[in-house]
Amino acid sequence: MSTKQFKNLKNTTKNISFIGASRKLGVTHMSLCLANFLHSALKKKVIYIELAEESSLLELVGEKQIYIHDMLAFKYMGVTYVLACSVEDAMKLLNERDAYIIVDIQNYSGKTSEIFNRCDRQIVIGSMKPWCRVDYYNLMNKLKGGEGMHSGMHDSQKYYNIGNLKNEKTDFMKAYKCNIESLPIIENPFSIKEEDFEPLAKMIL
Amino acid sequence: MIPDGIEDRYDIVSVLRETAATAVLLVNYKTIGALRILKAIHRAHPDAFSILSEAHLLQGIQSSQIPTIYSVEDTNEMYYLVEEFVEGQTLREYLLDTKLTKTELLKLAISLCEVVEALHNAKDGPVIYRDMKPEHIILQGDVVRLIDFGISIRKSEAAKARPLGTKNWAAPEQLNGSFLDERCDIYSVGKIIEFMQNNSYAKDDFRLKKLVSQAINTDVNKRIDSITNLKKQLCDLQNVKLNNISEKGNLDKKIAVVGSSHSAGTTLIAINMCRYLNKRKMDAYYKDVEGDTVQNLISNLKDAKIKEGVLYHEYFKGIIDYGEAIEKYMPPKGIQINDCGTNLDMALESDIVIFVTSSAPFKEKIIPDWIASESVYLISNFTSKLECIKLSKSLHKKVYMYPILKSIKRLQKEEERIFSTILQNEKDF
Repeated sequence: MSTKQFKNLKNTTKNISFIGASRKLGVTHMSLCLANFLHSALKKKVIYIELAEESSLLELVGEKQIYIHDMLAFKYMGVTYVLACSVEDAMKLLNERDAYIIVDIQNYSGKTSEIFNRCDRQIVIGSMKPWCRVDYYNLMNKLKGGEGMHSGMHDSQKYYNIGNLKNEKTDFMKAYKCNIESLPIIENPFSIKEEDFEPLAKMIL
Repeated sequence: MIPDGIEDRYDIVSVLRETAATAVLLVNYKTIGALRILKAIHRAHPDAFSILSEAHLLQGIQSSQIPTIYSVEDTNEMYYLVEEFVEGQTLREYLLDTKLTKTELLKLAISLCEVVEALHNAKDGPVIYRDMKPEHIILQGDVVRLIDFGISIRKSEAAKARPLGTKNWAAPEQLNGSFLDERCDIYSVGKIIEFMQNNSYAKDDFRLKKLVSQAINTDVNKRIDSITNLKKQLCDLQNVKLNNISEKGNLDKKIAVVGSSHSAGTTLIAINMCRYLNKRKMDAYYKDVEGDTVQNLISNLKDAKIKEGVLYHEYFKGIIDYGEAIEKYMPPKGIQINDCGTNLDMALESDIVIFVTSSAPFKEKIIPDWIASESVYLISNFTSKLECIKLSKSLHKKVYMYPILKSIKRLQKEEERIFSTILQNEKDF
């Protein structure tokens, strides 16, 4: 594997947010992959923020408890996890900029959209399958400037599709005048392979 | 005091030690004509029961390296114990006119560990020997035998044991009456190995010195925790020695580059040594033991490649220190060049050590005592010829002066010459 793309990794892209068009699309899976890649492969300091009311990761990563600025957090495989984090706390962490911050946003709403847009790189994951497409379109409409949203489509946003069909990509391009990429398939976010490095690095280029 | 009534069975050959209430005799057992040791003690002596306890302690210990107890008997006045006469020279006598090779030293040390291991693993509970000294170690070829168990105790009775032992050989906690366990014997074994090393050709062997320092640590919690562990580490040293002369050649050799202070230039020297060896078609891999050098190179080198945990760039091959969340890859086979920064302990785990000093007067330099060892090479970086000569004189060691580099892109001839001279001394290269 060539290291060409690592040369272009910019230190300015430090806050990365993930959002999904509907549930169970693998947003958390992909956020974990990127967090672990940044820490374990590139030795960066990484904070993972789970922006949700209830935590789905506590059982997995909650063994070693630590504190960052009076905030309860957990350390797992070198990554610091702030679970079931509030928007206010997430904003505080984003302002620090002394670590890479991965924000896994469970629901895109007026409040969380502020966090989403505050990040240097925003990753949108959805499915362009005919039966899921409507969810993607709804989310895209919200991103374009739905009511009460801190929004707008930017160059900093990257769109990912579950699947690799050409016509799905064309349809998305026609609708929104921007590219959509296939979401990489990574088996285990806690045992990443070297061939997974390239697509993960691309996410934050 | 010699016991009465033994004449019918034993002829006294010589009196080895005698006091008013005790005696140690070399006797001839008439029935079969064999030499034996007879230890006698008066019934009124405060340690009268020590003879019984010695016999009791040695029962059930599965080792041919301790003397056999034949009988414990008594007369009206005295108790006496008859045990095997262990023939041979004591370690102290042997070392008076012999200098050990490293191979002999390791064999004897391992054999000593084996007998202590047998005591510590006795089936009725661990026995603490407490009286290790060169006079109590009898050599029979490559095998050592231990004698005189007069002050040995069971671990279960250690709390009420009196503080006995020989100064300079016994562990500090044994002499000052603190809590005792098997680790006090590890201290004494360490002292014996140190004694043998000082009378050997391996006097400056840094790996052995490190092991000894771990065994004789006065802080019992920092000492090697078991005799089995000490034996294992000695066996590892023995294997390193065997491997060095076997068909393995330079495969799996470890070279450590360590600095006397920060910014001495260890990273550049280690990287360039790796490039030099690969240029000469010897598979060499750079590894940063403490830092993230290879990770930093990933994002800074043009046209590099990553494959199975190794970063490849021209003649450079670097082992990437991935974190836990990356799939594990087998370390590559070849010479490993460890950039140890200033971590001297880490450097000692290698076959060859390149010690780098720089002449900056504002930096505190640490020169370890193992610098004199044969497999340690001294490079002076960012320095003048005069300072190299001064350093060489003060340390009585050859100093290689590293050139000031005009460019780091290519290896300079002067650098290649230094690496080549160093490795010429190592026969596997």
